[in-house]
Amino acid sequence: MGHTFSLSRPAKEALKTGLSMSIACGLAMGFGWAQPIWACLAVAVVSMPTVGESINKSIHRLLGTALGAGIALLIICLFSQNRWAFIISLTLWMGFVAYRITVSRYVYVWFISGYVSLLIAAYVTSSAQNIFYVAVLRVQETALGILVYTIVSVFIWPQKSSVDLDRLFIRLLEAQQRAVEQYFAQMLAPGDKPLSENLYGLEAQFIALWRRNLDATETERFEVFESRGWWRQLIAQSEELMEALELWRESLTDMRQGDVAAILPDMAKFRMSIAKRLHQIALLMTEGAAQLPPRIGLTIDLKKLKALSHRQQAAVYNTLHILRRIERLTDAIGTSTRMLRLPRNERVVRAPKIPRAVTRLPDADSAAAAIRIMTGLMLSALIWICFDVPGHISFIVFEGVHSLIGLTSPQMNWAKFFFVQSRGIVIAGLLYVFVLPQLSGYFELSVVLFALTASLYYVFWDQKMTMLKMSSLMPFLLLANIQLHPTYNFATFANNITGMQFSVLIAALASGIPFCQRPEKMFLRTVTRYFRQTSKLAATFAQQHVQHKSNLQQRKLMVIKMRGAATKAGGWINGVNSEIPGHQSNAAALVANLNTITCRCKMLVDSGRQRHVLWEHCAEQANAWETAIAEVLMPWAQCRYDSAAIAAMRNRLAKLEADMETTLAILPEEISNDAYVASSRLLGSYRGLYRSLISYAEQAVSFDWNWCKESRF
Amino acid sequence: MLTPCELNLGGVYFPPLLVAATIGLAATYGLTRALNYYRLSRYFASPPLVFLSMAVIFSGLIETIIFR
Repeated sequence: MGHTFSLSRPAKEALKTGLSMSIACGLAMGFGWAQPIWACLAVAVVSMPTVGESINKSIHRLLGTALGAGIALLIICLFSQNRWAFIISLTLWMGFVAYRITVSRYVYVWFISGYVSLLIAAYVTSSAQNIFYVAVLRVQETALGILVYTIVSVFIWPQKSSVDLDRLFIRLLEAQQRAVEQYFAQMLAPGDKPLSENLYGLEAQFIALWRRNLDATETERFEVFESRGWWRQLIAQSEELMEALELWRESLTDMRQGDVAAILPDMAKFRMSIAKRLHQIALLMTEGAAQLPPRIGLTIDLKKLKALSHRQQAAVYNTLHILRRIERLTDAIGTSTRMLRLPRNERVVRAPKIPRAVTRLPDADSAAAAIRIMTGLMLSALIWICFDVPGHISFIVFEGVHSLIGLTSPQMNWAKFFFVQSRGIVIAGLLYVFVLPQLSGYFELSVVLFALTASLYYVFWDQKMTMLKMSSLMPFLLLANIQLHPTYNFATFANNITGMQFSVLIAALASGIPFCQRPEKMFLRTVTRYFRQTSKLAATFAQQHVQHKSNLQQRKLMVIKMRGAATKAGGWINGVNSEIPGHQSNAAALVANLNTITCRCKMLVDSGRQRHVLWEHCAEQANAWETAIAEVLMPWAQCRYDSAAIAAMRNRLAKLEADMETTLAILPEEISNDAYVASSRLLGSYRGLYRSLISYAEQAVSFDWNWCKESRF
Repeated sequence: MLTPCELNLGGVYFPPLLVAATIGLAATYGLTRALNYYRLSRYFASPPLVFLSMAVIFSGLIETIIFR
């Protein structure tokens, strides 16, 4: 048997990028275009692990380039004779770009539009009369680079993401199956075995990956593109199931004292049906045919239920509500999967409308991003005006780019970035001084471009090393002045690298405005913001006694904001001091508690829907809970934690639980069961939220908040 | 009268302000790391402003004392 030689995937991708780079540069030179390096830049940036991802990024880059070029032309047309109006309008545009980066789904479009507008606007000082030509050149060279890379990646070792799409769905289903099994086991035999893992984070990861893969696969395969409505619906349903499972997990602690199997006699059948349905859905996805089990209506043994305390009855009703929701969702997921597996002409149901692109909600960080980038740009413009700064107007462009990079990677370590970029500059300097002047034609230049790009892309293949890869390659592409008829001037090169590095310092300085971005400070800030949002949500319950649809939407929006703040706080954990033992794990436990509080708030928002039915009977009790919750949240929104308050909270909980029991016991006899269920679920949700606040308080008092508050460079 | 001067490093002429600013920044960075380590930074109300001020002071001192 002969040995088959095959290249690894990183080697293949690196060779493809190197080859595209050489071809793009050669074509641009062949056409006699002035800045062939712009085509190379496009290749370097759009090179992604799969064809679909590359094409998507290419489209975003092209759109961003066209938008940025258009805005730059507009600003130059309007204010080219007025320096201050020119700088201020450009700064305001960059502020808007920064804001959009923090809220838009199309981050790269806005990033590149900001960069291109700065770059083209910078030509106002050197060749204002040719500005339209420069803008068109930038767009066409970007398009050339994209076209070359797309052709190379489609024809040479094409790497498709469509296989991952099905696999990700199966893996998500497996995680959800494991969660269902765990929660059933815990609910039916509480205390037997503690929950081995929290699968929510894993599911969220799969869904994020799945969504990204779908974006790429839609571009790669027409059959996925035409059924994208079904795919998007499937993702939305899976996400809803993930949320429902999390609510279930949270409600497990309330079920400890009730004999669920006796109260819900169909539970064994229900459990089997859910497990079978999830299994069959996986089969349906892999093999294309499977029989989904019918839905089972869970019934309650009212006699046994009435024997429980009202507090326990509330917990049972809440769990029942969640279980029915889970059954409905698994059924819907099965239907969507079946539709996806049917040939297009056999689909009897019309494809659902594609949901609106998910955007992030603006928060204080969005405004801070705009302020940060505008400050950096104004500062660099003032420096450029007042001093003969190295790099001249390129200094402003570099500063803008570095600020934009800082914006897309908020946890960037500027000192590390400075040194990594210095390494890229050393590589660029060595090539500029010793290699480029020795080249006698395009062939030799293409070999240098190929070798440099392929080696860097191979070494820094891992996505985590993208910053390293780019900061090693970009200085060469930006500073080497590769032209049809190149000239070599070390003074210009030295000036430009000085300007480039100096602009990193200005961007780093501006990144501390309007507030410091040290990880522990940001952790503190996001946690405090989280409790401000929670307080606002709690206040809406106290102020709005009647549940209107608009109020419900407003509350749901608040819960989404809370979830966003908790996720952000989680992102800053790694930066929290690891030198103090247990500090990071303590921070992680705090974030887990924040997620629990968010879930409890969501339960409250959901159960508040029928609040008006027996409002007059529960109002006093609900107000008492709301007052207690608001009193707890008020100091937390200012980051004040008191260990003495925990005992008081526990006493208050005991009193409120006793009052709740009385309130539910004296509800009028003639009311319907639905009304009773709504009232008990509402009060039970308040209780659940208050208990989760106590858990958070217990964790929070052992965290060193003063260390986070301390001033630090 | 002071005359403009340049710094000759291996045949390459650098403006003194550039070299002074580089050394000044490096010195400030080192000093602030030390202040963080010994928890002395907690006595400053706004560390970023202190960093900037120290960088300017160090650069000015180095340029005045060493390069003139």
